[in-house]
Amino acid sequence: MNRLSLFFLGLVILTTPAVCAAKNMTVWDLQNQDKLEGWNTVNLTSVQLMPQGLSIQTDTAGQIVKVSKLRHSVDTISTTYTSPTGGKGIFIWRAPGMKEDEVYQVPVDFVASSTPQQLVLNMNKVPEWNARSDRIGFVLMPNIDFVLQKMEFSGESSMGSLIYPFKSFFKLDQARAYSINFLWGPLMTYSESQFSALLTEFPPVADSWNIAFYYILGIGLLITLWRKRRIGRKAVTAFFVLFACIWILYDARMGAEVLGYAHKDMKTWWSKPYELKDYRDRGSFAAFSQLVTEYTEGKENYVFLASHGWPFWSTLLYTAYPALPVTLENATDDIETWVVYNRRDIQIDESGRLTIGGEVISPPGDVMLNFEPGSFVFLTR
Amino acid sequence: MTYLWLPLGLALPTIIGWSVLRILEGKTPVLFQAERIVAGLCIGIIGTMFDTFILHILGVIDFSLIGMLSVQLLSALLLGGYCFFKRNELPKSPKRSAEKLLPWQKILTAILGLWIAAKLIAGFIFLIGPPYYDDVMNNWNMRGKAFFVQQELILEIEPGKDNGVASYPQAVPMVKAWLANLNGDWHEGLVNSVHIVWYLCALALVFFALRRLVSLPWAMLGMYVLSSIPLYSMHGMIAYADLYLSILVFLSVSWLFFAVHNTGAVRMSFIRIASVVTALLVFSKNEALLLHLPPIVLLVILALFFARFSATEKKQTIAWYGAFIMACLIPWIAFKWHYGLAFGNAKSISSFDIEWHEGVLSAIKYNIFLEGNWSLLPVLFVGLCIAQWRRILFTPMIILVGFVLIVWLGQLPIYMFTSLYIEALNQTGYARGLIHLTPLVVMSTTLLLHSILHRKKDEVSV
Repeated sequence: MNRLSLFFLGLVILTTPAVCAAKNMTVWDLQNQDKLEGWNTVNLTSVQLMPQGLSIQTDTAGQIVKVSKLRHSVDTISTTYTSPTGGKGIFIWRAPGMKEDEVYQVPVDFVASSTPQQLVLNMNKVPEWNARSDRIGFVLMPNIDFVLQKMEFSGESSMGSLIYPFKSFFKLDQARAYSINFLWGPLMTYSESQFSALLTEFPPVADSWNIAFYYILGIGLLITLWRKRRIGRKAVTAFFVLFACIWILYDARMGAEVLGYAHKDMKTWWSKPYELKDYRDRGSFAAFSQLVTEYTEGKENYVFLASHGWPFWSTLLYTAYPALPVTLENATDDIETWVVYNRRDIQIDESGRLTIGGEVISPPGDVMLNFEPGSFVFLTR
Repeated sequence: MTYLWLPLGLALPTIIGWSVLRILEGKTPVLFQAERIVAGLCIGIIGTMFDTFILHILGVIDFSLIGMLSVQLLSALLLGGYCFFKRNELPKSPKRSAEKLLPWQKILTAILGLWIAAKLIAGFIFLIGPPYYDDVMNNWNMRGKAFFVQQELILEIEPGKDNGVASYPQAVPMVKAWLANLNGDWHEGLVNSVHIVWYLCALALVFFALRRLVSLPWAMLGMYVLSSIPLYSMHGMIAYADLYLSILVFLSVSWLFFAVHNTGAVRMSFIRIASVVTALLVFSKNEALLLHLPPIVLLVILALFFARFSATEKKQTIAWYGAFIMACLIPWIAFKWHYGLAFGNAKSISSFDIEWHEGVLSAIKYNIFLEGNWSLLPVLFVGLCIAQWRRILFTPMIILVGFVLIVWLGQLPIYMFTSLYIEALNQTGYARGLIHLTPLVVMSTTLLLHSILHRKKDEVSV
């Protein structure tokens, strides 16, 4: 085995424990603690740290939350408590991107008992749950006597934690409106639920693979500096060979994403007839906007009604130019062409007029292009 | 058939750009023959469009096929004719000796070449589809279509509605109008296809610049590195103008670098061609006037003091830069003032309130180091800069790295303290500022890497 092979073997050995040691459980234990660190309380009548846990009494509704830094997937949250009174509460968390005063909440019941009880929450069933939430805790309703002993956050097994980061490396994003400004790049998930949700919700609940690469390169650099005295230049070369390998792997991943964009365009746009064309995440609108131009050509204006403004307005403004769109509020009787997209609430009455909720909005006319339900071109008589 | 208009449409601007560069190089050609063609294409486009713009606002021509063609034909005949008749007096372009690649280098080149070709084909398919990205529809293609349809420069697409894009320079929309004029109709694929040509130009120009200093494999490595920067590649297949600006910035700064790196007649050749592209920057994007031109001028001034320019060279440098910059800047600024157009990036710089915005640095860190935008280039670049800081500080490399740092550090306060912070937080505009610098970063990185790893003593060490 030559030195280069040894170098790579050393790297693998060094990085393996870090990967295998990926924790799948975090415990916030409040028993036998000297100080209450990282917890914040609001409006609780009495808060006292005891050997059994954190004793809380409420006369009015109050809350207790902890600043959270969970760094693994969490499917189940088990809260161990004793509560002689029992009562109602709300489990709360503030997911990434939420404002300071916003939280998600799930109502919970605390069983009255003098022995420790467990409240188990299966968070797999809560789509809003995000283990990266920076605040996690409870709102307690009035008149509860409660001792919080510990909270346990458990996630995917270690094997899952090993497999999913690699699987998610190759999960490719689609072309989206943000792709001109940034690309998520290779991401790392640790559970099936995270993997399934990856790149379907934003920001993605995942770590960047870049971090792993930085660790590998950092370790490689340390070894290089250590070995440089003995093998000199070869150590530096080996480090840059490692860098090049990661670079090419990265390029393969990101290049595959570009090929994926083109493949999707071919499959959903270029190879389909107009009535079946879909374009990226704009659905049928791109095809509709191109067909519409036949009816706007030579017109100064047309009325444009769509389910929402962006990106339909600017797209049609561009596609149908020099004909210009006007809103319903600015529509005048001399505008003959009405372009309607994805508005199933717009109907044609017996007199051939467009209506919204029974209210007439246009002079009588005829449908010239019936594209799909709720999407058509209407020409006044 | 439609796409045949692309090479035909780019031919005249290329001849014009090539001729301008060759005339400016004079008795001391410094560019490779192929490099001059590629650089000529990039400079010829903006130069031709600037001339067309000037003649149009003076009322001499409109944006019809005849109007635009006449400017290009006349310029090509005058400049190309001059070069043709003086061809015996103009020395031949420099050449690098042919190099043979090692077998493993040939195999790797073939594999990576095929890979780049596959990405280019995919990029082309992606580029020619229906309009999708906002600034394509709101700005670059929209204005191009308006110029083509109306056959004149118009500032408001929808009468009475100013969405800010009117303040942008017209070069890129005008190129699209020119291609549409040739085709006789607005064709989305045709007008967008010029962007992938620019992407290829960027790769080629980085290769040629590196080839002047390092061996063939190293120059190819630099080109590969640029081709593998994900967000830069995206800009090669989306019809935005940032990649085109990055080429002009690259030419302006790298040619200044070569001027400082060389002496005598070679230096002055680089100064002349660098000055013309620096001046034309202002007609590419608004950022160029505010963010790129001032640091370049600053670097030119510093070069005059610290790069051992003779008194004559100093005077000539000031004269070339001064004349070209004034020739482009005065008409452009006069036009903007006349029509009350903003000087910011679609937003007026006078409307910015100074206020600290939290989260901007964190968003920037995320964009640079944790997303897939730049591959591992930022850590490689920063790492090499730290490892090679003496080489950067005490050699002409300071021009390349200094410019990158000035522009990057100069952008940070804009995002941290002004209302543009939202562009950093939402990541809508910040990364595009880095796109402009990417070829320079790649060139610097390759040179620094080369200085660590190269062995052959016969190569020029920067």
